[in-house]
Amino acid sequence: MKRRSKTCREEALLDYLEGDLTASEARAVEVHLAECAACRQRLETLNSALKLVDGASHPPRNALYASRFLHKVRQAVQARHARFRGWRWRAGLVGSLGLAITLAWLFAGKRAGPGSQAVVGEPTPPREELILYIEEYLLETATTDELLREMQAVEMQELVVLIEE
Amino acid sequence: LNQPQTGPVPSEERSQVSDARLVSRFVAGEEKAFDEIVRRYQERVFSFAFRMLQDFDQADDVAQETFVRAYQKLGRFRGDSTLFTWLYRIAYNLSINCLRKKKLWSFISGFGAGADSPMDEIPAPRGPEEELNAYELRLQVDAAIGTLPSRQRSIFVLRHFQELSHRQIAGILGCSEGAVRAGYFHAVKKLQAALREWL
Repeated sequence: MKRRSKTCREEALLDYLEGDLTASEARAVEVHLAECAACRQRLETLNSALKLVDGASHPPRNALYASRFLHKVRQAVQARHARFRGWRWRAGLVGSLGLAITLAWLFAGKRAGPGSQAVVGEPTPPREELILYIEEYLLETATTDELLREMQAVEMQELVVLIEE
Repeated sequence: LNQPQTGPVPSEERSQVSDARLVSRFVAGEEKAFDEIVRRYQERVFSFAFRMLQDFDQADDVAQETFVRAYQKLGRFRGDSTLFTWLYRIAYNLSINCLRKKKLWSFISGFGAGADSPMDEIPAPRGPEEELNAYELRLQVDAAIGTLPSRQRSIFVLRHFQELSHRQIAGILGCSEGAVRAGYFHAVKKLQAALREWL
């Protein structure tokens, strides 16, 4: 069986077509092509296939569409940012309120539970102190200006009612 | 959101401003630098997505989403790769996701891959025979590219249409240059087989 030359590899022919070979490699392929009709045929077929693909290219987008694209990207960026900001604020608020309720529940448990008998005479934290504690917690954990502003707007009375519930 | 700066990137500088400079300007808060990045790469990103998805609207969505994500992540761009390689990587991942969804949707809806045929996208010409032939060829080529596995398709599109080097493609896809060469060769052979009646 006749052994195929190393340069009979179609991969090498494709690399040759694409200009991906070094000068010496390209020269070796050319020398081989000069004496191998089968490879010349392979090269021609590869070349024709790639030209067909090129010939069937789609027209580019029109200029008007391209100019609108940036505007659309800008709008999408703004919309995404607004949505993220809303989500972040809500997550912060829900987390903070959740912790506030847990703390309140723990304080209430201490006062009413059997353990409270052992600390007779210990002053129970006044409501103002509890409110201050929660407020400080919120201030410490707030990571955005939006959250801070929003929390300042929350009536402390609402928090007290929430805790009592 | 970074605060917009007044004034565009000066036009005389535009062609000389490097991608790295644009990125650093944007990170420093100059919003117009991002606009310039979009202008510079939108056609290439769209073209890549269109070749991958063969659907104008989906390609438009992917291109848009590519830049939205770029906007969000540009602050963390470390410059390990070039900006356009980085953009292509985002577009590639989004395109692959979109292809998966299309495949799943075709399966669920029972219409098969033909439901997204490019034939739905391009109106058939009513002109002379040459136009009809060109139209037929375009459909055939699109269909042939559409049958390539997504990775081979990416390699072919990036290499043949976007004219990127093997090295750049390897960087985008996260594989070796050898794998890119092999993938490209197999893609060309498959296209050649699919288009044999035109050869």
